[in-house]
Amino acid sequence: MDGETEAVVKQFDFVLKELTFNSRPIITTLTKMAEENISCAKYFVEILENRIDKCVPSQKLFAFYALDSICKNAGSPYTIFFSKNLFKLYKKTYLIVNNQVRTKLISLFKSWLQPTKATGEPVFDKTTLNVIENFLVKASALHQKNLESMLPTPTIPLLFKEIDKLTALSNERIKDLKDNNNVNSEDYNKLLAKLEVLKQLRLVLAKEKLSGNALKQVQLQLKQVFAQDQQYLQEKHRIQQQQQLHQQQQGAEREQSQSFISNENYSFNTTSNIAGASHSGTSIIPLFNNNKNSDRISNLNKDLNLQNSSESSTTFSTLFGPNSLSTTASSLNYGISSGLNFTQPNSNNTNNVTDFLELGKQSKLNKLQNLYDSLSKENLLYIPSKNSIVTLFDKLNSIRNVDGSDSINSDIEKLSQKLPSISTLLNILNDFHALMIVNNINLDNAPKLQLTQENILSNETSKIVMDNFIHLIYRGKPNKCSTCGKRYGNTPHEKMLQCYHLDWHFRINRRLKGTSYNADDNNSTTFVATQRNIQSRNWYIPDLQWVGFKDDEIVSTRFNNDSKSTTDIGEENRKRNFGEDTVGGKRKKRSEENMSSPQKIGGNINSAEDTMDLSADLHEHYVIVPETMVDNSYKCSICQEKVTSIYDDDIGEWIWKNTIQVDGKYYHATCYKETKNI
Amino acid sequence: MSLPGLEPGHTGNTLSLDSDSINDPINGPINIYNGDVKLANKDEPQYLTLSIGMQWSLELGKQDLVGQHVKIYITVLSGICEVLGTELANDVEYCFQDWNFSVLAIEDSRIKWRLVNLMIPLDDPFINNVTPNDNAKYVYNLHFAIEKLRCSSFTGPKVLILGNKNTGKTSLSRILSSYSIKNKAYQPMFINLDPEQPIVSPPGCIMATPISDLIDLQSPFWNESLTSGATKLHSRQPLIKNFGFEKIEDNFDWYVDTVRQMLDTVDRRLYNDPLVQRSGCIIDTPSCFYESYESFESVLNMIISKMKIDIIVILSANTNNDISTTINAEPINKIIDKNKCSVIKLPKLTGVIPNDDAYKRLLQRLAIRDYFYGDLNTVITPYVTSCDFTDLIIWELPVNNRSDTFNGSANVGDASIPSNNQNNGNNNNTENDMSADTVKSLTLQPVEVNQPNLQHAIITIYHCPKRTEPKQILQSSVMGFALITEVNEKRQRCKLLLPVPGSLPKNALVLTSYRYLE
Repeated sequence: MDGETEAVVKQFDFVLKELTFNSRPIITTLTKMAEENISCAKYFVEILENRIDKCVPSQKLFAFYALDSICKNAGSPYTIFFSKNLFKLYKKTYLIVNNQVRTKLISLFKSWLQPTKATGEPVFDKTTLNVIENFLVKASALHQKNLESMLPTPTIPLLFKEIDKLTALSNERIKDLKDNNNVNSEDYNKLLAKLEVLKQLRLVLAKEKLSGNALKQVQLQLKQVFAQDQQYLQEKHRIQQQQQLHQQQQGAEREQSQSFISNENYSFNTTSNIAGASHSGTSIIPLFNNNKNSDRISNLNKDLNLQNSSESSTTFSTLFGPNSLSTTASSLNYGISSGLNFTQPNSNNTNNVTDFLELGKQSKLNKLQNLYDSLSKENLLYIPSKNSIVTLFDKLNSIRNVDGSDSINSDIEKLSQKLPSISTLLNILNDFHALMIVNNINLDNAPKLQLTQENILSNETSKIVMDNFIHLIYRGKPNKCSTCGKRYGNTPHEKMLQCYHLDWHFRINRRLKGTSYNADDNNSTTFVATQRNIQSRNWYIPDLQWVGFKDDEIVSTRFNNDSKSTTDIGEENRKRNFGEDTVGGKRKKRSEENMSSPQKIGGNINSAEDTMDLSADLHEHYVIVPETMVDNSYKCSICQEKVTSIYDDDIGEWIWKNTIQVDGKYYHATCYKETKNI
Repeated sequence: MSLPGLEPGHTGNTLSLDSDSINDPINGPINIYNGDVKLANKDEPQYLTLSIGMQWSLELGKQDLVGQHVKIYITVLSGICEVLGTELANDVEYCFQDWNFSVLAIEDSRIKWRLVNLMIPLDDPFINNVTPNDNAKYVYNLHFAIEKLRCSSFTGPKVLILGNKNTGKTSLSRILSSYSIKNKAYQPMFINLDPEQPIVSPPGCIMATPISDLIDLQSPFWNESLTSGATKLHSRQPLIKNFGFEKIEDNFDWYVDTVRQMLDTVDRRLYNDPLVQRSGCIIDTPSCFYESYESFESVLNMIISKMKIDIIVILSANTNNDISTTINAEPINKIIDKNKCSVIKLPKLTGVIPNDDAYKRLLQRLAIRDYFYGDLNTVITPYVTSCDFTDLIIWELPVNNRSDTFNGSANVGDASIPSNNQNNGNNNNTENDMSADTVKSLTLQPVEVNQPNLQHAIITIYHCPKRTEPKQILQSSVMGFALITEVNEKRQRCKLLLPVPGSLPKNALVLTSYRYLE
């Protein structure tokens, strides 16, 4: 590639990169460049292919337009170069873009099939186009299929399904009444009658061809009845969910087995659902159609399917080893309890498709229930006891469900968001436990703690110590510092100590990180430098001094002591030496003393205008940044300069240097002085 | 406790510890201890559950296959864990390097850990060493018995810890010290009498400091001594006495004298500081105190009487249970007054990782580096200075290995002369009664300034002027240490590394036998 070519190619690349939207001028430019520089075709093609391959999906189409334009206008050799990778690029693009772009890509492809004016032939050679066409045919077929599966299913099977559902609901109610010994009540008889009607309706539907209108009416009526039953059922569920999990399971078992018996007449539909339980709702349609024609076959089917399902559940139970079984079973518990919630349909807008899916799920559940029953028969299930965490979880979980959410996964998420983690809960309990113990023990009243060889090595002492006294040094002080792990108790004194301790950590961390130092000199230039925590080891103090040393000087975290115990006696001396020579030093000292009484700060330091005539003193003015300030900086309203805070090691506070506060506003002390004199 | 299912026992069952691994809904799969820790991927964070009373011993003093030192990051996610008595903060990542220690679970705990630059076999025992800590309960018993004494008197319990090599004497001291500041704000005086092990100081020193705040659980040297700036934890203001030799027997007389000086000073501090006085003392000793008991009888006597020791803890070399029966046979019984002093014998601590010489050297080297450059958390800057040979007056004590004191009990009387006098309280007469040998041991000799003598040497700077009488130098206090990094005989100049900015103080200097190559 010589220099000129390189320049052209670079420019092409540059222009192409601008093609982030559908722009005719850019495409025209690119086409012109391609036409004028046929010698660079190879590079252009490479760049453009690269572009199509690498750019974000939304921009791929525009690059394709550029390709199209070049090929149609410049023709050979571009067509030859491009056709080499065209299919690969086209396919790759097609697969990752959205449907709109796909349509556009297809129309683009259609335009390629048209013979061009110049040659009378399509733009690209036939084989390339054929491959793309084949690909598109396959892709759209797949697309079509997806669409079809979403379409509403034929009406008669749908009605069947609804009838089945209603039957199931009614059965449940019957069972309920039986449970409550209401067998002779009016409701019970009504329900039995309803079941009979439903049965007949089903037979009619199966045998006779009804007009579309009639079908619709049946559907409407069914829906009405359905809504009533649903309401009842929802109420029932709400009560049910407040019971223990295992009770729920037992209930479900009974319910399930009962529905199996009374459902016998209709079960061919249910079982066929089991056969096609793999969500592919369409597979059920042809199966049903066959049944419609001959009841005999359907009965046969029914028997077969029933057999199959029971068989599969028994093979399941033998498949699993006893160990893995217990875990599967407990996960099954969740599955079932969550599945039960699915039987609660959305009352008002019973969408046909979702109903259908629900039924599929229900039949799947039946299967699970079968498995569960057989497992529990074999004593292979672990049923959590009343006090277990699993039960608690389930309780909380079911309460959530009533609130209207319908998926167990989202429940777990919500639950883990709302509930503190197990370790936090344990922490609280253990702390509480320890506190109770600590409040009731006294080291003085522990004869076993008399220091003797026997006591120290006796198991009895160990037991007393490990059960009681050990809490004195751990959870008896429940407030653990999150930075260093030091523990603090609950008494006001300890709380105060902890406060000081946390403040100390805060100050130390700030110093360790280094502070942003902002110095204002006379020219008012501002520079920010980082003041690092550079330190060296101290000399050891002489023995005599050590004898008089108190460790409180090091470990005290009290704020007003802190300026004195800056952990450096040398530094302290230095401060003393330099500090008291200058007026500023004295001022600082004074303000330091004021620190212990915060209410004085405003009065003494800030409005100390009487001493302002000492100009050397002006720079020593500072204001401690109020805690309420958000951004640690203010703008001096006289010189309009922004003043940022710096950290003062000596007083351990963020301050604004050369600053004065007047009537709640902050100014440069120097600025204020100047303007005041005018 | 009305929350069902949350009693500790129950959750303990739910997180059944005998299954291989369970899936934690929040934190993903975790490894449960069941004999070994499986390593999925050495760079990924690993999870470990330590059930109550288990101890995870980590031997980081070793090098891996490519000679790198292993660094481990440990985060306690839940529960309570401690390192030698100091509790780890939860959800804080701690870094450990270059020392052997163990993490003890006080409650069932979950730990996240990761290794950096690991080049060791994945099944190496050093990361898999989880054992039940059977003897922790005795330490608790001992601690609370001591704590009870603290409550009942104004002169706190003075504990002397003796025992064989690798029985956990220093660990026990550290644990007792840590525990004692937990319940109430006591400040027990900790005294390290083993010059070979550096604690808060460079090696070759004995040291005393009140334990007034948390011991740095990441540091094998317990704490930093004071620096001029901010440190993550409170640092210590220790009393340092320079011994300067590698082995006690290199100059036994000087060792005895150093201990005597130290205890005198500590005694005065205790007198001045009621809080420390009340908190008592914990004294860690070198193993030779116990092992060559006859030679050290005089020293022991001096310590016991000077410090008014009332508890002697002996760590037995074995872990079996017949300790109570052997206690009467302890030779130590011969020299103590049973009425004033109770002797407790404990089995060797669980999980003691035996120290070898290489590890000891490693710690000594690290302690010197630490003194000048700081540790993982605190970076401190030393100061390089240089001076003429003529400015240097360096003294040293002679190596005076009196083999007799270590090979038999014949001359015990000789060795005990200085201390016996101390016992009588006649400080002034000490020098008069010294044997010729002792005098020789305690006489400073000038060192010729040349490369072989001084290159890479650590020298002690005393708090007394350069021209002080040699005898006086040894009585004065230690100001700090300097490292001679370069001796240029041509230009007659030395380069020195000082801990504190400035030129070399015009103070008395004494050569130690420690060398450090940066």
